[in-house]
Amino acid sequence: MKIAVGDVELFFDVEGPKVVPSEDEWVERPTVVLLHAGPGADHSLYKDLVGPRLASVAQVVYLDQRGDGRSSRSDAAHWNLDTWSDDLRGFLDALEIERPVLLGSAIGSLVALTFASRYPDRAAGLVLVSAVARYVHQRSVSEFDRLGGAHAGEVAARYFGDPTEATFADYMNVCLPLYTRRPLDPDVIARMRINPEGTVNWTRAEAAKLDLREAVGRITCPVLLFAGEDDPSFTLAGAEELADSLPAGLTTFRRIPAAGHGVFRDAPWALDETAEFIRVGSSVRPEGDDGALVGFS
Amino acid sequence: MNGVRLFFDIQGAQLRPEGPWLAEHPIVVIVHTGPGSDHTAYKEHIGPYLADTAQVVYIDLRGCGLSDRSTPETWNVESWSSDLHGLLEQIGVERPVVLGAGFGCYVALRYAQRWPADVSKLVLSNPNARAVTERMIERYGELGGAKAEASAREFFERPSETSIAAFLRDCFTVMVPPVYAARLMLMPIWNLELAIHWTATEMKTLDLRPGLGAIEAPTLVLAASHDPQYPPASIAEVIDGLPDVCVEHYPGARHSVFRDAPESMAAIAEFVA
Repeated sequence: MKIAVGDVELFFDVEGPKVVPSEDEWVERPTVVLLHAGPGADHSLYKDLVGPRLASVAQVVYLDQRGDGRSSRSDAAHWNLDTWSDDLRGFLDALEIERPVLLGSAIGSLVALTFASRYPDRAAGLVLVSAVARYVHQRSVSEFDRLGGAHAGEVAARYFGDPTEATFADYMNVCLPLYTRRPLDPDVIARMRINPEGTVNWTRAEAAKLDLREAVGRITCPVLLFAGEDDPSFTLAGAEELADSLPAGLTTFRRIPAAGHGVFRDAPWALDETAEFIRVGSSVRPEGDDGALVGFS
Repeated sequence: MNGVRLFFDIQGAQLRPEGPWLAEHPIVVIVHTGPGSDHTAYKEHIGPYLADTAQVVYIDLRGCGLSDRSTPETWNVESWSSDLHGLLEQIGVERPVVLGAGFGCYVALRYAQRWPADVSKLVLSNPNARAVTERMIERYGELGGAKAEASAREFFERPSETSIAAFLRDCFTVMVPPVYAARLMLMPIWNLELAIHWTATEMKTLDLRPGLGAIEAPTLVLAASHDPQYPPASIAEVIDGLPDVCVEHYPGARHSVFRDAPESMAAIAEFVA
């Protein structure tokens, strides 16, 4: 399915109904919008594991961000967090999705953070998988060095220092396999419609100046943050810095040993906790509630 | 959509992993019966059944369920079919399978007449092209006895709050088996004002027979023998008029075909695939 939002058409797909029957009444379930990693990847990353699991507790909405997958390509000048989060706002308005939970990994988590800091009343909760408030390349280079040896660290440093199609190709060959402890399923990779230009542009343009530490202080919804201790791309140190910047009473931080980028593949229990967070955490908050999330500290 | 807000819901993804590909599955849009009922009944049988292999879109027609109530002068097949077309265009659904049930078949047929190229397949459960009230009244008598016949006649000839109450009391359990009647009466958000209004107005004049030949989509008709609201002779008029049609007969089934003859669901799934 596609819907017109501003100057682009955004592709979306849906799994699991919003309203379901119970014994004697109709029950409304929460909505979770899945924001994919990238830029340059697409929603299909969530189709094999995350989406189907969460569809048992919520209506799952998959979205291809502008520039990616089956959505309008637009152009590099519009491949940035402000535009993606405004696209998301327009998308939610068009479909009258009032207050969804947003689940994002990597760049998707940055879109979720940007959106929730700009429109705090429009998110019921955030699930962040591999998230940071800013990139510190040296942290990432050290992790590649630790996980893959000195050569991997050098290849990463070359790409971060000079993002081009050539250094990106080396990075994909040498560094991508180090992202997760369990190898990525080649079918999952094959299913993506890839826009490498989007990835390179991101590293060259916005990644270098990104700093969400102040903005995320404006977030008012519960946040569940997962960090793999062996994620060389969105490092544990980066996630810890983000956790410190988020409003204290709202954040649950889970650091996961022996897990890499996009933790769910390495730590399936995290998906169960996510399902419970969506089921409980996004329920309508009673009047006068101070915002503390039931069930999580 | 055309000045009203329409409720829709979706079950089952359109693109699903299949080895190294995302396989595209058909989209089935379900148009509910009534008039004045909503989409919910289909979430208890045919919707989830089809969602295994298709993306199912449920819609509440204008005036019904969770959609805007709008105003009585727009409660007609022309605006319902326009709404459906507008909604599907807005959410980028191209050439869906349109599945109508009972009253929803009027909307589905009109949609397929107006936009023949925009429908890939049609599935019609107990379709009529017009409401022949004498046939309906006679059938209520045959299946439900004198009291049902009298209440049907009174409602069709003088639709009002009083006559619809008697109609529902005496005729609803003729239309659907008593074991399902309470749930089918209590679970939807009914708009009885719409049911009265439509029975008093468009039901008397609507005749979709002349446009049936314009429908291009291959069509599967489910024909139940014991639905007094949609008598077999009127279902036959639709079958006779459609250019590309196959028919499954369900002897003994009433208006609630999916509950009375669950094998009909497999027939639809096979037809849709």
